[in-house]
Amino acid sequence: MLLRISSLRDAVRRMDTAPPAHLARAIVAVQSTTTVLAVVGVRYGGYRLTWGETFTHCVLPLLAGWAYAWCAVVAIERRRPSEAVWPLLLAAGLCTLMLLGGIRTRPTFLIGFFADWLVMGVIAHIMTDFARGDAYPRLRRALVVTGYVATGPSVVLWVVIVGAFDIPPRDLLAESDVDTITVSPDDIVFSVLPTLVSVVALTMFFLRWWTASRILRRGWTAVLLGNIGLTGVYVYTGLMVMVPALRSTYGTGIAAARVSLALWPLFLLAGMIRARAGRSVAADLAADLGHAPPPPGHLQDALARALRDPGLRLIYYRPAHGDYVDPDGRPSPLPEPGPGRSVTVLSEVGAIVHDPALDESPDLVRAVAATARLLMENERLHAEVRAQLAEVRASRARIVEAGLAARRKIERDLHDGAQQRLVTLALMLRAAQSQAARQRPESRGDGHADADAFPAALAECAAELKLAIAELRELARGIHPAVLTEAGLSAALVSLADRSVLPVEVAAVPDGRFAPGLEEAVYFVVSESLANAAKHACATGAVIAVHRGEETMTVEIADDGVGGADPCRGTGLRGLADRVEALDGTLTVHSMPGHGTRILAELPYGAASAASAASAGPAGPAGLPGPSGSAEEQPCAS
Amino acid sequence: MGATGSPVTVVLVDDHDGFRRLATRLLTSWGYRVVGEAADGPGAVEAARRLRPDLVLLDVQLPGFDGFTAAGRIREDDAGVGIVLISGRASEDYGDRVVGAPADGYISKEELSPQSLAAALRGFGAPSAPAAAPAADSR
Repeated sequence: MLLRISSLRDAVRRMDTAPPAHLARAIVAVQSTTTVLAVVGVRYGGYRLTWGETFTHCVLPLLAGWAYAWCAVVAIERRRPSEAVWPLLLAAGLCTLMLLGGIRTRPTFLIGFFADWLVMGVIAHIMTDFARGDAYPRLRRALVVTGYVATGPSVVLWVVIVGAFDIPPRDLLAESDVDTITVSPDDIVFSVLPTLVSVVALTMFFLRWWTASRILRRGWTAVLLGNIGLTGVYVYTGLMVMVPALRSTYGTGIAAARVSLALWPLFLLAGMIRARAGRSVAADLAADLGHAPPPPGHLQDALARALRDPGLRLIYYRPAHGDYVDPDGRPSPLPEPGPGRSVTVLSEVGAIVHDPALDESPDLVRAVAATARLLMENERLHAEVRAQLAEVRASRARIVEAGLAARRKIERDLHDGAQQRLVTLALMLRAAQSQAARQRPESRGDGHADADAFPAALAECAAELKLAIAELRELARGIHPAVLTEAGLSAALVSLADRSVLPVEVAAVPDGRFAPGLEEAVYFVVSESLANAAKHACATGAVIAVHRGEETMTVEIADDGVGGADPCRGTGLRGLADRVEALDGTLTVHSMPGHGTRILAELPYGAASAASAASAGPAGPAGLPGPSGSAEEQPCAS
Repeated sequence: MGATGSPVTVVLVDDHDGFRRLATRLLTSWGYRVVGEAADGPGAVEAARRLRPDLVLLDVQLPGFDGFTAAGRIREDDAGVGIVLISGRASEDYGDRVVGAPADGYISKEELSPQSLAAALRGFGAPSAPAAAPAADSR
């Protein structure tokens, strides 16, 4: 495990720190050469510049050129945001420097002039590339093409049309006289198009930023701010050309454009470095998961935190069933990748469903998946166990409900069958008694010695029969209390309290009807507890309180007996706990010796309803202790 | 006898034929006159409305609707009729429903006797216990 973790960390760091050195050196060499040429051009190109102009038109582009070069090196090192972005960054840097290289000869001046415009198209391309993704591929291509057409060939065409060959080299850097500016339709096209391209690219980038995961946003925020600044300046300079009132700020606008162009690569650079730091942190977090694995069932949360993707989900493959389950063991089909979700499948283990923005960092996802695989194998076993546990729970609830249904059926059968026949027999006996009473005087008249014996025997039979009926009724009530079905929980508990051998106070019982399974569970908890209190606790009184909560019904039975009841011994309380737990409830027994016993049960409404609804099949084995006669905790010390 | 000296007329309602036959024999032997029978809730209401008996012996568990509901409807039709609920179950199996029912009394079926009927109807003026009823229950 440790080996895997350290290899993960190393792998992530290698990805971030292993640049193709020769390429980086080549970039530095090209950049240096261009810088030397630019400096020479400025020094000996015949320019007469003020210090302010020198800073705005020479120093800032110089810095910007090197900032682009730095970005290109970083992009090569990290292969991000894409394989293609580093040439663009290098091109932007060279274009910026070539502006300074427009020295003595007209061809080199034209190259510099062309580069000054082309850099806008390159920047728009970089913006678009940063905002790349699966969305709007055609729009992205159109945007890139429009950006280059508006800034490259069009400028060449413009130079040819307007005869820009006649523009003296020095004027390229010198600020134009505001009053001499004339605006033609060509100017508008050449100013508006790059501006529009920038605005659309900014919008796309913003949308990508808005939907990105936190880890990507971390780096993209700086880029977004840079894009907003640069696009704002573009818009302003575009308006400056078209709106005469703004031309008085022409010099400021040009300076602002130079400053923005110089600062923008710094924002890019900051974004790349922050993103790398974010990924490094995420990789470390992911690696830490290996060193200190989260508790079972928490891997999903831990990975979500590590990847800063709150919507991340893990699903586990169950080879034995050939299906997938979530961390809680619930069936969860493997989702198809689609808008909003990406799926990284780990064969034979499961899958990570994550923000598609993380696809921007496939190596990170792969590295984290490598760590996750080992943990998921372990977690998958837990999920399988949880799935089996859920099945066992459901099965137990069904068995309990089947038992209850069987009890209800037996009670009904006793009532409709044996009890009904006994009742009929009692009435027939009563009829015989009536007949015997009517015939008694005649019998005496005949001088029969046993004249009183027959009615007396009938009366004795009737009395025995009445006892038999009462006992049968009590037996049926023990199997299933009819009052619960007929009159509900409140009446059943009051009846139970009335029939108890102990004085029982019913402190609180909610009115209304509840799921049959819940009512029966509450009834039997109370019944069993009172039986225990009377038989084993030597109690002289008990109190029942049933409260209706938001999610659960709480049942409390307290007696003043000897205490010391232990749910782990005997089957009475254990059986009660089983019955309660079968409904996803809990049973707590507080029974200090000499301090009475307090039994607290919490029963959720939902599970009882579901169990009742599920019991549509034939009655199964009861599997539960009866309401009386099974309480053998803590024999009463007499 | 009833208030007019004629036998107390009874409508007997139970869904068990055997019980109805036996109870009719018993009631007749006790001096009651069973004028009609019904096997379900709606039948009980209809028979009581049609026959206008002095007393309705009404089983609680009936097809259609139960004895409590039937008692309410019979009482709506004839406020003066005596209604005694009978059941194979003990009264506590019905909780407060027996106490709140629009009936004059409740008798477990095995307890059915002239005395229990008289006790159930005690305080109910119209159909008094028949004078001819013998003291059959010697206990």
